[in-house]
Amino acid sequence: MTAATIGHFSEAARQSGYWNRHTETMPRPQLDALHLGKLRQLLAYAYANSPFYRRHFDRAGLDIEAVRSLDDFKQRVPLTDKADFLHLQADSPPYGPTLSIPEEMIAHHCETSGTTGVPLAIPYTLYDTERYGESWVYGMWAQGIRPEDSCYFAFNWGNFAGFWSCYWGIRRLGCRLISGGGADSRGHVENIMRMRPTVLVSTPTFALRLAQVAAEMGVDIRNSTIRHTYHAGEPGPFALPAMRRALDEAWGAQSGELLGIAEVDAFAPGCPERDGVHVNEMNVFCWSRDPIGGQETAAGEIGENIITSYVNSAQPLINYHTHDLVRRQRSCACGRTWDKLDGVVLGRTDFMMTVRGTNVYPTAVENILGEIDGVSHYYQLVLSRQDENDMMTVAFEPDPGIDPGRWDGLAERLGQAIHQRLHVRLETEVVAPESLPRFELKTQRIIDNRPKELRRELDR
Amino acid sequence: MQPDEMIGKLTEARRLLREVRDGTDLPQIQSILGHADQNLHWALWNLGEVDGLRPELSEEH
Repeated sequence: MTAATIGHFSEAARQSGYWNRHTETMPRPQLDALHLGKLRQLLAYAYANSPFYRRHFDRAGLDIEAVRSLDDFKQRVPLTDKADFLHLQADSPPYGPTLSIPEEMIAHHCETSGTTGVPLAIPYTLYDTERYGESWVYGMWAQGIRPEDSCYFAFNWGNFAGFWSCYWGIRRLGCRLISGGGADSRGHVENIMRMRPTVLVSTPTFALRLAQVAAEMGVDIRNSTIRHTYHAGEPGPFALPAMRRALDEAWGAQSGELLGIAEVDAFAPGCPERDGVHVNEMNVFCWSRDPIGGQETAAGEIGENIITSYVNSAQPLINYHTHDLVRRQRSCACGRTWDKLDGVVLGRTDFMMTVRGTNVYPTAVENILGEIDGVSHYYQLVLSRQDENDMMTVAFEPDPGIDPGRWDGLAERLGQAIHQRLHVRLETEVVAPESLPRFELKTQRIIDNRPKELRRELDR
Repeated sequence: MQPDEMIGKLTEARRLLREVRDGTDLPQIQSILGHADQNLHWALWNLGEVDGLRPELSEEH
């Protein structure tokens, strides 16, 4: 078989830098007309099939027939938030009234990581999975990954949507998939050297960790068969230039990134300019809003990304808060007309942080602190960088009456509770009563000691 | 081939495919053609043709 026939692609198609030049370079007026048609269909679909949206729209007094422009959509259609879905699913598990298809049509069940408390259940039809996976392919193709490549997955599967969706995408692209599920770091390095994949798929920090482990093993990973690394789940090479340099240097390969939200889509594949991601405007509609005033923010200004997915027909997400602060650009040197989020995600409206690939909300940690007898309400969350990973240490004062002999036990109980509830191991440290600073106004709970070049733009 | 011509041929392909699917009671063939119809719907979507969020919904029109 010749390269020209691998994966159904002609030589001309293989040479294209676009997965779909027709839509990726579609003029803005044509894209907007498409969006309006899709949004109107989606509103009618959700109203007809989802008890949640019927009630949501009725409560807001929304007449879906009155949505005749994109401005109408942004201004009239009520916003939704993950918390809405979590509450409804908690009341009537697993999906509650958010489901818009008969349950027997669900082909795949995924969940968010549950770092805010209870995981969000995410149902997909078979078609939803195909469309979600497609979002991975745009960026991989633009980076030069082709069907003859082989992709090594350095992660465990579980129910996490992010990497399942990568699997769906790689099937579409036609690459060989090699799962590293179950291996530890040394095992991943050994697998890579033995199975000779050409693409590493992982979180960016784990890729750096693997390179470090390889060096400790005496393996020259820069001279392995890996020629691309592709990342999601944390600020990566297109968000942080220092991360890009570190990854490219560590692996002797070209790193790439996409931005995804588990319950929505892998919706923004990486730009070949390597300084941001493009919104997949075939799968989603996005706009930005001032998180305080609520008005739409213009191109080039920072605002919260509000997203609507066309491709989650099982559980539609319409005008959905992402809590991601982004800066949208309407043109790009790469030629794509799809909106570009330069710098990817610049910050969060809810101060979420990512520790070892797991999203951690300070409020979730704070809630657990408040539940442990003997722990006072004086504490700090200290971010640092160790072994190529973001780390968080929870430093807390015990209640003044607690015998110092019991302090270590308190720290251990707190660490166990955090691990049990948030599925991440955080360092816990007892400090003496009265030793943490007191503030008259806004208490500074989060101390960020990470190098500035490895923080999101708005966190520097 | 220009997008409009592709759209026309893909739409016709869906019509022919449904004829075969509706004319057989072989589960395997119905399943394969269901996947094929889904892919054709997706191809049309990615050429800018919006006809229902799910293939079976556009069939009902």
